[in-house]
Amino acid sequence: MELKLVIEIKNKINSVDKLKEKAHEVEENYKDCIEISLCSGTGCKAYLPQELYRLMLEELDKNKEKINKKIVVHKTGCLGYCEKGPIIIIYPKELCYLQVKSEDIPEIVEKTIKDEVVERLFYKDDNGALIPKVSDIPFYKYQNRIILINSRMDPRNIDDYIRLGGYQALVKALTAMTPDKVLDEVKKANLRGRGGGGFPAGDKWETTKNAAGEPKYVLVNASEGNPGAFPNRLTIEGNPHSVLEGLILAAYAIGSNQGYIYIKQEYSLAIENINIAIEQAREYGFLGKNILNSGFNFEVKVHKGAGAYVSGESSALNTAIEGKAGEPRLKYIHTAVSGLWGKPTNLNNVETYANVPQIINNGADWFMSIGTKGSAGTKIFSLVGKVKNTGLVEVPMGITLRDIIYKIGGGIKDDKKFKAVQTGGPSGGVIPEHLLDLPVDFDELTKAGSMMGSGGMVVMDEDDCMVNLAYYFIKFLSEESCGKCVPCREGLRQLIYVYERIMEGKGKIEDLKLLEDLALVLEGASLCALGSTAQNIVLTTLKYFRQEYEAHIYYHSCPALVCKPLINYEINKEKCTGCMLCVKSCPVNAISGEVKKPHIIDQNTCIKCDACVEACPEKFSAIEKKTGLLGVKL
Amino acid sequence: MKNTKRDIETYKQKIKKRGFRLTETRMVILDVLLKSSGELDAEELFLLSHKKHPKIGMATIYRTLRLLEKEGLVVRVGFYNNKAKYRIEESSGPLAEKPDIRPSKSGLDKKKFTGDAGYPLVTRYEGNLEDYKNVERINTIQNQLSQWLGELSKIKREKELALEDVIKDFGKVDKIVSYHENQRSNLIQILLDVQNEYRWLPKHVLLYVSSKLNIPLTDIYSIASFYKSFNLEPRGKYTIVVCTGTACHVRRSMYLLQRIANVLGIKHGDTTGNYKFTLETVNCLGCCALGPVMVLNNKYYSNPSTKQLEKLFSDLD
Repeated sequence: MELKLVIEIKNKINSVDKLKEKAHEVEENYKDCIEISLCSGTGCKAYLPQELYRLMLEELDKNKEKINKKIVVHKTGCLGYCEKGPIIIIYPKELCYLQVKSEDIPEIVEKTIKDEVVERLFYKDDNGALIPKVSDIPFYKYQNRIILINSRMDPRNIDDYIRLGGYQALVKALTAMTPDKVLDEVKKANLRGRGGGGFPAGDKWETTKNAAGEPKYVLVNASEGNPGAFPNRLTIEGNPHSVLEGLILAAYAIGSNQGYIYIKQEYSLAIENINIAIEQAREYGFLGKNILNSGFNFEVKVHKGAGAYVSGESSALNTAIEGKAGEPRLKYIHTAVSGLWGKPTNLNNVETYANVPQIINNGADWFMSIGTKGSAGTKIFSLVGKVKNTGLVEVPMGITLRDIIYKIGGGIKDDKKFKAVQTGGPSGGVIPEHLLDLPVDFDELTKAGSMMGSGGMVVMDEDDCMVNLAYYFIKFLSEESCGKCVPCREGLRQLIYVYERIMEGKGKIEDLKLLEDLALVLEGASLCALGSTAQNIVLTTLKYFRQEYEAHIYYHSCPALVCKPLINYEINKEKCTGCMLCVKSCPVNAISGEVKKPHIIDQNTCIKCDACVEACPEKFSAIEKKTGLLGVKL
Repeated sequence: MKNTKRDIETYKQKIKKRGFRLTETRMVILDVLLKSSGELDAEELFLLSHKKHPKIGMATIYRTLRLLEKEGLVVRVGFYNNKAKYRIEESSGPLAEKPDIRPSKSGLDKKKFTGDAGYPLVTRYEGNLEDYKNVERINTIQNQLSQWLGELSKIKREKELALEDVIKDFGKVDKIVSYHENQRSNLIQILLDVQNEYRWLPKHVLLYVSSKLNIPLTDIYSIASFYKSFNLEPRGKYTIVVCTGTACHVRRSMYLLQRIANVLGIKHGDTTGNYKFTLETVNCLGCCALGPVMVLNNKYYSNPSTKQLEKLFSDLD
């Protein structure tokens, strides 16, 4: 027992020197060694990274005798380039292997030991030239990663984080700065909330700090429910300590002794990693009583959210942590003044907290030098949809959408035509092609009718129907609406009715005015942002893609061939060879025909399930979708 | 048509007597009807009267005709080519004695509203007998259907009860509750852990939790039904999760969902009859590069085809 206590005390870091010592010690450990980073984030989970990791260790074990250098394998969090996953990066040469399969592992290990490279796994650019170095790959080249620095660390190892400069900010703040000074630095850096609205974090902290009432609470909002957005999830999975450090710094600045991390229960890996991080931080003395001998106490609890999108709203999140149904309330009094259990509560997004250690370490001026005047720093986006390079990107604010989509994203998949990009999840809007040169920051996106949101960026091509997309988001919001206020509950439902009418070809041109009116009511009268931002998607699609709505209404046609009631599946008689494959695949027996004779689809029975398209061999592609009054694609 | 003028005067008086206003439009329509030699249908009436008074529309015609017919000033004669024809009622004997049925100024006279104002309240059915037979047939089918549905829900409930019976040991629940310090504020966490244990929230377990934490069962249900993660019905052994996040949506996840539904024969949110599979949707799984994605048994599948699905499902026991 005594021995354990001694070890515990020995492990505790309580001064700047001790932290430096620790960092040096870790660095010494890694000196002259080859580091292999294997991406094990959620994006690569489908490729079974554990299996690759196991194989890698086995291979290394087999070749024990040949190894003359120390080799370390990191199971890292998401490395970002999900499209080409799983990724292996080998340091110090920064060699990047893409789309690694289990068969490749022996060769990689063998060549790495011999200090050689596996050329066939390198990135090939359009001209066929090989790019071995990770920072030269276009996907990474145009990014500016200050938060996603997890490529050389195991998220479950605090030492790795310390080696990368972790907890230096905390030690600096607690030993050399007063809480007010920390707050001033964050305020000076103009750090804006990364969760959506872009409210200055410093101002929020100050309100909480000055509000009457004890104790004060600090919360992390990791209730990321946006369909198609996952920056928070991967930030916590890849580098939980950065969020934790930011949270402790915020608590120090505000004067809070208790923090909560609200995280969706579906994010099992993130929950696991943050729990481990909390344990390790406690062991090192960054959490608990009398942190770094400064007299400051702080504890963190993880609260698993049970899956309600609306619980990501600030007042709803507070009630959810109290163990009640997470419904929002009117915010005459902000949660910063009266939040959790009626006490002053500061709530920020995961990414906001992850920025704080960087600001304290490098100063507000450095932070201000990145990004634009109004929006400093970087922003993490999940670049998904119809782009060539899907993945997690961190870009400086002010970069244009075109740069993100074409330089980092590599352009549109299958070289189709770009149609629109959707930012901000269900609360955001769509941005059409003529606005692609828009600089990405909080204010510019809002001006265009969309918003930053928590970092979803979905790219759409000519095959996507904007009416259907708006319907999809409205339906999502309606399902997630808590039903407390009438405009949101009923307004969204009415919007759905109108959209369904239009998508069935029964819409009238007056319906467009009705959509606009309903959207404006939602904006003006809803209780929380879930309802009030629903107008973005309606108004932007109406504004930029009105002709598509009109095609649905006037010509009963869906130009993108998405809306089921308006499309027909027909078999091209010239292309059909009569192979009977589609006949067998049809779940409702709507296709009739004989062998070697063109088949016919009975339009009355067809449920438009797309099964026949899947069944028809690609070389024939005899099944065609048609739309419009005369079955002609417009 | 020689004494038109006098005629109009008598009809005007009749209308006034009944207590209705003599509006311009009514006058015009009455005039047209009186002047016409034969019977008119509503459309003809509209065309003739619209010329005289531009404010008259089809609705005015119908409204006025209904009023006049009710008061017995106009009769409906015949029904040709799907159009009713109207002509003015010539005999004005008993009509004059009809009482004023509108409420008097002194207040409502209830007696006058009891239905004996002179017009029938019930219309007799005059269709052919076949319709009656059809109705009978529909009734028997409906009865049969509701009986089957009742049986089905009975079977389902029995299965639920059988599944509930499996859980008799509350030791695990005790552990979970005490891990969360017996606190009400940790209710969501407790329920999540209970669900992790049993895959769903059986009623008697919830009752047990409510007595243990000393909170009403309704409170527990209010939370269990608010949050999406909680299942109040038994789940299949395997859960199939299909991502319908935006990225997967634009890559046509609905077709994948439809394929799985075709193979399993259930809608999303449902469980197969043998409690083997539950089909669920989720908003984002975070691996958008693979979209559309399906998760089964912690394994990720990128856009599996019908054949792959069939094999996958049949391989599981």
